[in-house]
Amino acid sequence: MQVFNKYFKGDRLIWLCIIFLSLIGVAGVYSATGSLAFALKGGDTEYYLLKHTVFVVVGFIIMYFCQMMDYRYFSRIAQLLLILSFILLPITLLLGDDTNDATRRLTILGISFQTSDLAKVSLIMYISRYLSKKQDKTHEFSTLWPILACIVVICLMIAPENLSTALVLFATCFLLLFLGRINLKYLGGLFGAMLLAATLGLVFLLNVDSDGWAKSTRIPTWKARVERYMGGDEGESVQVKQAKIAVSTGGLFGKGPGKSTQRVFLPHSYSDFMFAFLIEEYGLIIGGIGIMLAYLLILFRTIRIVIKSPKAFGALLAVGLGFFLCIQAFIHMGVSVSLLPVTGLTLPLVSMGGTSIIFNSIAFGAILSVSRFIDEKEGDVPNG
Amino acid sequence: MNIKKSILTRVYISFLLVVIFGVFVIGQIIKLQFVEKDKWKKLSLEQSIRYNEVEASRGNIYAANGELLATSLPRFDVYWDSRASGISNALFEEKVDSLAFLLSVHFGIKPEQDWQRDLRKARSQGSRYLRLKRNIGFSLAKDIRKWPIFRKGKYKGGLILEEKSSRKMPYGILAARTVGFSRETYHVGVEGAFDSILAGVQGQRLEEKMYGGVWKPVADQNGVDPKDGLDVYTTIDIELQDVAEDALYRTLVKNNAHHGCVVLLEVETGAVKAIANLERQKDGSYAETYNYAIGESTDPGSTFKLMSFMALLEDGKAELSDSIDIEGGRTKYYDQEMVDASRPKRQFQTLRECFERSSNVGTSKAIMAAYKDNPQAYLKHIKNAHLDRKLGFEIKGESSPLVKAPGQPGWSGTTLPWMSIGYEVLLNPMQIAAFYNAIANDGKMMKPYLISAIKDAGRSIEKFEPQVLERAICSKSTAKQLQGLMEGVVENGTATNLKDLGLKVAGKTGTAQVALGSKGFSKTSHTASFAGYFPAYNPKYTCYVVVNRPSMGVYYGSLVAGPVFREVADKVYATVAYSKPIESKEETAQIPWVKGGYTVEARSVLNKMGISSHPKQDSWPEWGSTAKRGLAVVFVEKVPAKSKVPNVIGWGLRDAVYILESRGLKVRVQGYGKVNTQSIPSGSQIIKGSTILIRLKP
Repeated sequence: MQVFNKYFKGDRLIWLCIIFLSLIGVAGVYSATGSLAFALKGGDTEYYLLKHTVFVVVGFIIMYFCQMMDYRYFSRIAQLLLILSFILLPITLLLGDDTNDATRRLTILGISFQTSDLAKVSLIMYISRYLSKKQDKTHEFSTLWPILACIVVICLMIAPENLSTALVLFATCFLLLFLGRINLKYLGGLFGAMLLAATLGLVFLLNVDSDGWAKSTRIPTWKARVERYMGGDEGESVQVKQAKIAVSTGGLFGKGPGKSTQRVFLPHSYSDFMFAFLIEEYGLIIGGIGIMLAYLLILFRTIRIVIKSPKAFGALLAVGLGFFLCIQAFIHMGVSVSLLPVTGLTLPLVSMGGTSIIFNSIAFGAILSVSRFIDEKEGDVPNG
Repeated sequence: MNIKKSILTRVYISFLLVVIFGVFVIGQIIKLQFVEKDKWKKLSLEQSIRYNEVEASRGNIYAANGELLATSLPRFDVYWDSRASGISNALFEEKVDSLAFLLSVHFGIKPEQDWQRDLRKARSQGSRYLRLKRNIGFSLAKDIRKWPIFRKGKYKGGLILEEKSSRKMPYGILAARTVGFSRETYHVGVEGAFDSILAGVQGQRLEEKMYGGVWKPVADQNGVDPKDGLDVYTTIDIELQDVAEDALYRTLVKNNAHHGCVVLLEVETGAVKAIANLERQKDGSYAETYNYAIGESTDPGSTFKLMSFMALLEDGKAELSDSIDIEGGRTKYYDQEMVDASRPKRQFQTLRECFERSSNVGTSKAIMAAYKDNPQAYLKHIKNAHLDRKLGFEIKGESSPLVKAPGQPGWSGTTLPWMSIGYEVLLNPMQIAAFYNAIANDGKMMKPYLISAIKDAGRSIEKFEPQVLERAICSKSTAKQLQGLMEGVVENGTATNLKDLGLKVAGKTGTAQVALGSKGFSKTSHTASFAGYFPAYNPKYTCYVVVNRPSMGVYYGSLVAGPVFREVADKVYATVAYSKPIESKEETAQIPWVKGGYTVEARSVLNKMGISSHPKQDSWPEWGSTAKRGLAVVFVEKVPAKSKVPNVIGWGLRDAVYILESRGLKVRVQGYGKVNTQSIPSGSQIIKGSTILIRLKP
């Protein structure tokens, strides 16, 4: 524990949760990628394990350095990253690599990454910065509209290729505006507008002709997913059915690590359906409630930061990123257990996801940095 | 701290919402695990999805000029998902009769009312995988997509087309055994030898079990697309192959022979230009059922004398002008009598005359005089000529040669004299051809090869260059002397019937008695052969012909095998090697004669050549015949009703086979060139599965 305390600064409970999630992720990815490894890598089952482990380790190094930084630097970093996002998102739309029919990735200097991952983290950080500076003017509309415009533009640039990410990001930003004490009147209006837009969008999707002009876009995919979700049991897709089997047969204690039978049948068990897969192997208690509690604990500890933080930026940064990660995790869980329609959201820190792990690590690192700052200020860490 | 409090309140509210959602998630898990436990347990036990393999399409085999020797034509099995999302009840009711009508017209099988009844039944039962028809061709599969209901698209209209392929050899029997086939455990010819290259790599896809135990493909990102097989380009010249096969066939029939084969090699490279094998079947017809050219080692007989003469000349043991006592064409080695096939005219002959007239006595006496005490010196030449071991030919089934040596079982005092005239030694036809090819090539032995390149959709993957097997099996001057001897065989020896003022050929006849295992040699069964090259003054091609067991009283190599050789030589002379382009002094443009067929390809070629082309009607036909009109080529629409046999006369083979197959006919092909006649006249009603014979002519 001495060693642990020496190197892991900041909130140790958060650190423990992160380590727990990462370990279960590595074990899960190794087991879940078996069939993928046979399909794409000629049976080299260690390929994805190694790749994932490398990303997790790099993620830890990044978290470590982020927590050592003074969190106030994140204010400036957020600004720079957001500008970078504004440049890279349109480039991705125009020039990005095609994977799974979606143009989502951009390759820079040989490293391929999802620009929306960068945009998400930088937008959340930037909103925290913006709102903390405007805490005395939160009731004015002039405070709301510039940041709202910024949010909408970013989300619109992500939406064509990755609608679910854009929707979740928008919802998270909305929550952040709420936490940042934006006038409820405006937020109510905004919520109404969102409902209207959602209704219009649904009507549009249900009536658009998939074989017409929309053929080369992702609209037919969205349409099919929504139709299936609304169609009840009849239209249940293979993925949903297989995920339900995985969750159901997992039982209270699971089939045991590496003993999944559904991984062969459940597409994307290592990413979009990781939670279902983990329940199958680790059961409701550890794989289900355990993982959920880890995220809730992280979120709960960020509330502690709000209580103790002397400045609004630190509080909003920590709680904003905390909600950002948790919302993503909970929506992923909702999809995995078939409460929500199928989306391509991964389970942060756990799912195999390459560069998304890196950006999530920056987010966790920032939370830890704020917690380290308040702990040291309080002086409850002797060697601080 | 009003601000902090306000923020905290909002954070707590949000946290509570997340927790509530979490409770829902846990609730859902509990519902799945406990309330619906049995349902999912049952589903997991009868797991209804699987990964299934998807066949890669097999590569083509081409002749030297790019003609297809073997190809895979796409075929489709047609199924229908009656519960596809785009089929509303209104749509179904409105269109079911017209769909049933089209099905009965194009698929046949059953009348319109039955089709309609079956479609309705499938829909009311919720069948998601109703089989409509198997094995339809490419163009019909294309048309189906435009039919009512189906035209709503793959997922909405419920049309499921499963592609597979069937192997087709457009030239039928031509080089059939060399092209070969590949089945589970039985691999023959190029198909067998290059199976791994031609086969490609299978893909896999996710399939879901549907009502009735059938599997339907599901869109999934873990699927792997199959990697199609590569194309193999052979050195076979389809026209020469046709001539060789045809000439061999007629000779076999004429002499009622058991089997025969022809090997044609290019002197400079060793490339196999033709390889024909025919064997009499039980019903009296002839077919390519065994690759004798590489698979049967026999006593070569007199053609092996060239080997003996090479040894004599190379070692300086004799001069061609040396005189030998023929002993009246009869001599004895120990208790064995050796006899010449024809009674010699004189008692003494020069060594040259012994070769030209194929004297067994003269040849064996010269060899005995030179090597009786040292047979190893003679055997060394056989070894140098690579005749004691396999050639390492690309396709499987090459038989091992047998060359005895002193001290080994079977070697006796009579072995050397009989070996010198081609007995007590076993060689396959390809080896003899390679040996003669080496002499024609001034002593340089090339390795016979059949595969020139491996390509991926026209892009070269691997190229095979000619290989030298033995740099010099004898000196150049010896080779020249041997060439002179072979010219003499045709000029004034045993093969004067092959003399022709047009093209001078050279070679050696062979007439061997068929070995009967331990019982010695048959007096009545013979193997007639001829090995040689042409043109005599500048060797370009080597040809070896064997006819096994002719049974019409004639069995001499010159009379049975010689004509096949001559015919092949004349054909090569006329078409390939020496035809000069007709020089045109006029400046007028040459409009090429364009085969009818798939017009898109023809047009693009004409465009590249700068020749104008236009349709006769208003629009471009997809398939058409052609006509010259001034300096342009005119295309005439040529696709009759789908249920009628099209007119393919004047079309190229590939297009003709393609369109006839796509109409449900089985195609048999004879000859080469363009379609000259078709056995079912155009315009007649197509009876699916019936056979149409098309004869081609250059």
